[in-house]
Amino acid sequence: MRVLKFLARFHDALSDFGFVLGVAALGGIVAVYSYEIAVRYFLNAPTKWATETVQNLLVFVIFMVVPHVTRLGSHISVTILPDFVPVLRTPLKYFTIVAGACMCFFAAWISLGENIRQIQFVIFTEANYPIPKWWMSIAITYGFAGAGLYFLRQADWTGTLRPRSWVAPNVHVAELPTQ
Amino acid sequence: MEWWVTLSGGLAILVVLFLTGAPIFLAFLVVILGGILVTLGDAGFGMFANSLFQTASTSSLATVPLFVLLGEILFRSGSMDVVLDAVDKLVGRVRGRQYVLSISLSTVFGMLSGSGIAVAAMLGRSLLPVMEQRGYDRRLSTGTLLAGAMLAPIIPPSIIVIIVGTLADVSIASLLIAGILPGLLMAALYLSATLVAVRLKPSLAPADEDAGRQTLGDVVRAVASLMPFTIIIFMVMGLIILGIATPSESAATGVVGALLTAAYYRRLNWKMLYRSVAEAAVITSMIMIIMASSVMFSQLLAFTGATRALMETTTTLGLPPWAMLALMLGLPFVLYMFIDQLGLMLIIIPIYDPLLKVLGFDPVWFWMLFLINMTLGAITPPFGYIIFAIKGAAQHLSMNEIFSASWLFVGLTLIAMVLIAVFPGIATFLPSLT
Repeated sequence: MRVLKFLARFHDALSDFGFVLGVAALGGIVAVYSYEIAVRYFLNAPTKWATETVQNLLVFVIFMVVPHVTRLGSHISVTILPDFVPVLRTPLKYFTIVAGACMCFFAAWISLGENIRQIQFVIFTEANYPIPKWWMSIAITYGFAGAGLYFLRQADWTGTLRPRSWVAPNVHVAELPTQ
Repeated sequence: MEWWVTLSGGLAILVVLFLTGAPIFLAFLVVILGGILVTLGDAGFGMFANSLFQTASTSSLATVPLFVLLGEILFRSGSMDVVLDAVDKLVGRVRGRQYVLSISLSTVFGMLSGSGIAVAAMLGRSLLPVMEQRGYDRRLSTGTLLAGAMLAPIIPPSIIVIIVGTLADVSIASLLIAGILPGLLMAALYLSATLVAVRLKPSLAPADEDAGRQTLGDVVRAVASLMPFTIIIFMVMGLIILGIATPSESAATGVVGALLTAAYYRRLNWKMLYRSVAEAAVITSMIMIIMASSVMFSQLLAFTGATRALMETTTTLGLPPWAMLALMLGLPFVLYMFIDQLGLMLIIIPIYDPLLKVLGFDPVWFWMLFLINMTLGAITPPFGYIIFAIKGAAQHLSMNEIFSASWLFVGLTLIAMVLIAVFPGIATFLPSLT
């Protein structure tokens, strides 16, 4: 159990790191676009890299934060049945846990396969300044794998593996995936 | 397998999964990954991974986090309080002035933030208690807040417009600008109906409310305090209309404007800034993971032949365009009462998009009507996110009170939709100028 607890804390720390990276990427989008407009209209010197940089940063904003969103139980959902038929809450909770873990791990596995293919065939982004595609697409694998683990950890009824966050300590970490 | 079996089967599974309370992105993953295994096999996995990457790296979608961040900075810095005070001073001594204040404020907030929930939560906490304390009718007060909050996703900046525009492949700039006149029309309808209601039934508003007589200096100061916000609106909408910046770039400059405004009012600090960016990142991830997971739904529809067959069937139906329009808006109107707006929108857009070409509808006009219809779902009982936001902000209100407060404004919004349907220029005039 101690090993599992250590791994859970490592997973939490990794999710915090991803979350901070996603937040920084969003700050980066604001900075890059503001710079682009400033140099384009005040210096008449548009950049060739602004749009593609923003595209890459957006992948990070979305997928590096997904595990954190799953940890919070903040994914958008329709809670008609759990709200109005309380007897179904527990079965539906476990359905979500199983479906969430299976689908996220499946998606992560598919994405990992694509990452490996991109590395093997040395695939670059189609851009003015091409970079290896897997540098960004790895975020998708990370996002789904991290989210899948959080779904799995919700099945822990002892509370030992209860999610924790150090960068967002004031936020409520949900126990129910449907909250 | 027949196309209609594939289509209806897929839709039925999606709706059932939605209702179980599972996250919406999971429901899409189940159907899409299942669909890939059935129709394409292993060969479809690469397509799935690529569709995730392509959606997540679409530059126009960078507007979504930037609009969210713009609203977050203005709300969290407390800058919106300045707007509240200023608009309060500018609303004259009219019977029912708090109703006027409520709708006017919602309209201005809608021009600064694309989030109906944020507007509802803020006014539900700040304005509603004042209205009740001063003897305003609780039901009508709640109704004006519900309706006012509904304007935020329609008047630019609007997050939903970015998603609709990207999925339907319509000019996002045109769609954003198209929301201005319909939003103002709806605000005018809500305001007129409320004032007429007060005139017909004076007990809805106190007779001698002390609004405080404003001097010319007060009015000038109020207008001056709104100037930084006018600059933000210009940075977002003005730059798009003038063709100086793309929607994403103008959203980024809007964020800079919001930061400068917060700094001007001495409300900019690191804690507020971190919380705003962090919350914007979380909201973006929540929305965009659904979008990224769902985009391949339209490709699967095409692979199974459902898209082409649906278009052919629509052509052979021979229904007049107005009947098709009523059908295409009526069905989601009912569904939006029960199902999350974003999830349903992501199912419907890939189905409707090819039909528009067959029917010859103007895409900007149709998607604006669709957007209003969808937003209407947010205030239509029994399930609507603005309804829940008002309930969260004003716990003492019963759900029945909120439900009964919404119906008048649901009716007014339907009237606005009929007007826009009959006079398309309301939606298409401003985009035609750019």
